[in-house]
Amino acid sequence: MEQKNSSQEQNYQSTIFGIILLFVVVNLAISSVLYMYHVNAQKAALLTEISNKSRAIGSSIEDLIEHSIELGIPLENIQGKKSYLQNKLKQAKEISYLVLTDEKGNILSKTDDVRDSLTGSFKRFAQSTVSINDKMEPFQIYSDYNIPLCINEGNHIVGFLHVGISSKLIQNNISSVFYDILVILLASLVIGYEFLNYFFMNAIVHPLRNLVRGLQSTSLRDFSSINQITMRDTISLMSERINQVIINLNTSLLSFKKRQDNLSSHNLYVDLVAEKTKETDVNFKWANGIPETVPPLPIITNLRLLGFLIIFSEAVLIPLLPSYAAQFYETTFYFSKQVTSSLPVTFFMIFALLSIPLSSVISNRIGFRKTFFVGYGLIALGYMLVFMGDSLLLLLVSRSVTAVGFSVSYICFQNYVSAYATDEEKLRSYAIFSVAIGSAYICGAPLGGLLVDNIGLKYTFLLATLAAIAAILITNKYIFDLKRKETDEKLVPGKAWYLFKQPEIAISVICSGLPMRLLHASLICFLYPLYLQHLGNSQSAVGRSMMVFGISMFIISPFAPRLVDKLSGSPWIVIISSFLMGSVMMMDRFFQSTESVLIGLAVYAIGSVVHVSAMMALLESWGTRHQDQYTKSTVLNFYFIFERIGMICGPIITSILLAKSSYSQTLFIMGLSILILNALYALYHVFKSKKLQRTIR
Amino acid sequence: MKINIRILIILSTISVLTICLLTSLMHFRYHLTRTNLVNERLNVSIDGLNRTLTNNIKLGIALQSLQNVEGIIKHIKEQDKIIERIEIFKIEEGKLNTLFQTDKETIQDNINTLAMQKIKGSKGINWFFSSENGLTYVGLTLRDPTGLDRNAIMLSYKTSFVKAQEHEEVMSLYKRMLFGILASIIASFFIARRSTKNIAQMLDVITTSFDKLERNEKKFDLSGIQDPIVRGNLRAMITSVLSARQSLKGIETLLISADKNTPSGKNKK
Repeated sequence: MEQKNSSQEQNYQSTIFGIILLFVVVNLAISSVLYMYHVNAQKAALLTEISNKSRAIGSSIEDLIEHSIELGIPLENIQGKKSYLQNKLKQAKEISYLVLTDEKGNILSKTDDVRDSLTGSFKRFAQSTVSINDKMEPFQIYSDYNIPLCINEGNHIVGFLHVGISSKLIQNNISSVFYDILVILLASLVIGYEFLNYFFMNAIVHPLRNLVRGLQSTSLRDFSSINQITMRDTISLMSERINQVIINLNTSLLSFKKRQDNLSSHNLYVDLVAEKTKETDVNFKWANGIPETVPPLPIITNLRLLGFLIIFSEAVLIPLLPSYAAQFYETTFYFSKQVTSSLPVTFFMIFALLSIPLSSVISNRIGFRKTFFVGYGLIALGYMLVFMGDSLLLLLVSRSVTAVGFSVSYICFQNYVSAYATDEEKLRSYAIFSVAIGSAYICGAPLGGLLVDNIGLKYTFLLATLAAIAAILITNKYIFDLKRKETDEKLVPGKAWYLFKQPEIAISVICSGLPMRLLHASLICFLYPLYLQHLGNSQSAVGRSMMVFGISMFIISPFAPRLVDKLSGSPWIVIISSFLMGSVMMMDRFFQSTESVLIGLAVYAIGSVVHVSAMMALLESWGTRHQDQYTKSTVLNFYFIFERIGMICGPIITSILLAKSSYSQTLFIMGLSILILNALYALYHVFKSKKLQRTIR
Repeated sequence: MKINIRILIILSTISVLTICLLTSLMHFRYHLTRTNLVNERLNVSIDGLNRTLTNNIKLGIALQSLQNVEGIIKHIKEQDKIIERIEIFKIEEGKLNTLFQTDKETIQDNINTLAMQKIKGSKGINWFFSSENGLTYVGLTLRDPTGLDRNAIMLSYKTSFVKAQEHEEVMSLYKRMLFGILASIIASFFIARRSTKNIAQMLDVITTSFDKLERNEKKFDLSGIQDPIVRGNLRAMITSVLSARQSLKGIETLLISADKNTPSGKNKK
């Protein structure tokens, strides 16, 4: 049944892909038309203004030359023309050449890189220009635009100054917006896919699943239960019709049974009726009175869009916050610029850790639905606080409030999955969340960079706020509290300490869990965005670079669980993935370029997804082996605590390293540390397996 | 609401937002590029003055003792019609004190503050900002040999000058945006209709089948349902319900006969 359902889902996934593909093609066509128009408008505007600027530059040369002519020095006798023109050329990057000609167009002086083939154009121009009142319009010579200026003595022309502008300059200005257009289209593709997927799941796939469930039970001649209807969509209303059929049949049978009870025992038909009724009872399953109401299947995939929206809101801001915080460093007397840059991330992690218990307490009291409202509401409030002013304190308060909201909603997400999901759905939910993170980073980070470059960081917070508000609205419509399963065992301090004394758990936490989360908070939220800016990239380019992280996560997320399943329980996947990440970080020392950072981001994304999946599997298998003492979720919760400690410490440690060394040195040190800890982890497992072999012998 | 209408709403919303964002981006970039070029052109205008003043600073000559500076800046203003005024300042105690200016109007405090912020915040010597009074200010910081910011030149022009130049093109851009939005909504309509054809057909068949079931009909055509799971289960469900009804009908028939068999009066055990 599950296989059939998942193949049905796959069919609808291909429908969604088809819609999105057509949608993207249409938008691409429309954007191309707008872009082509923009290119022409931009070209005309650029050319006009560059001409004006070039005229201004040319005018200063023209003035000097005319001054010399007024002093009686003929144009061709003026000394030092070439070096003067070369100096002027260096001052203005837009100008590709300067040429001084006489009134007939013969070249008197020119800067380097002027082709001889231009001579003909200058001569033709000189012939066509008769008086100083003739209009001097720019004209194109090969790939350059030429702006002519007239040098006159009194009322007659004695020469021309030609200022050349390379068309590549204009192209570069225009092409900078091309990448931004691609980013916006990509963001619309991803966001469109997420919303369509969400709509299909809620309006078609899940109602259809519930409908099919109702059809199946009635097809098996089971009329004892009806589906609970919570939505009023088209397909759910069909489930209601099935319910009505079942209710009518049960009502009919009930009334017949009452009539049967009223029959006299002497009635000739009483035995026949009893026999027929018994046959009906045997052939069909009936309700005893009112049919039992079966709640709808919980929609775990609803959490995907919620996760996407919230991670999207953070992905828009995370790469840009360190540089925003750095501008306040003069106002803080105690911290260096690097530490000030790390404060928003650090505060976020601290408050996120401290508010973990809050979510469980809230959701137990008021239910998941209201807890999600609280979480997303706090996130939206945190973003809106930034609008109240410009100060480091306000930024930190904003991040703290957002962190509490994040923690509350993230833990609520995990508890929701624990409460309602089957084991298979639980694994899928981790994969779903990883894909949501990947999608969010694919479109959030570059969109954030683009918006910051154009409207500033403060107004970019508005987009993040809108995403949080959208999450609230979606929760209101689609997230409901249903009947829960048994809750898992709680982690108490005594049990936590005992867990920590288990060598395998302690080694996993110290050598793998804690460092990896430390790395995540340092690299993604802090180091890489600042490093990319340091390498000369604009905010838009930083955002596009962080997109690589999202794309890599998105690609690897469906495969990582399968890979881990195939090599079930092996610690070597954890070791190899950590080794890869550490090595790539160290190799940056030799390249120190944007490309090496991009490779680092891609390898880190792949490595982290594989690492997390493999570590979860290892911990779960340990939990299974010790299930008489601990549940799997207790072991995982213990591990998550240390992960969060790593996320708090990461930015602080990185900022201290940055204060003492360069970006590439910091990466090298962090990579080396990962390799050393990884080597210890590997050694432990080698000794453990050798010990096991000796024991077996 | 029909499924294809809801898909149309989703696609249209995203399309409209995308196209609006694209158009705003293009408009913004166009405006920014044009403004930057105007500012750079104006910087060129004061470039000659900048070199003269910088050379004097390097020679240790105080700016206020220079002759004919006001004449020079008035000449520059006359050369370029868009320039409203030019001023040369001395930076003292975090404030700009006017040394020379093209007209006698005093600089407003908020402009003074904004200019100081830009001087402190800019990485290079060039800076600009727009103010609420409809003027854009373009400036250049003069640094002394020790690298400290000691003096500044600032000129202003009406922001509406740039806006007026780009007005026609921006209006055309937004007209095209509206056409683009209309085209995308029409395209989304056809995409939604085409994509949900099978689903709509399936729902129609299911609805018709339920209607027929309610009317106790026996003939059902489920060929319109492409999904084999739904088709198979619906067929089995219809068979089961009809069978149950048949069974209940049998009981009812017997009960009717039983009722006819009872003597007139009540049926009692």
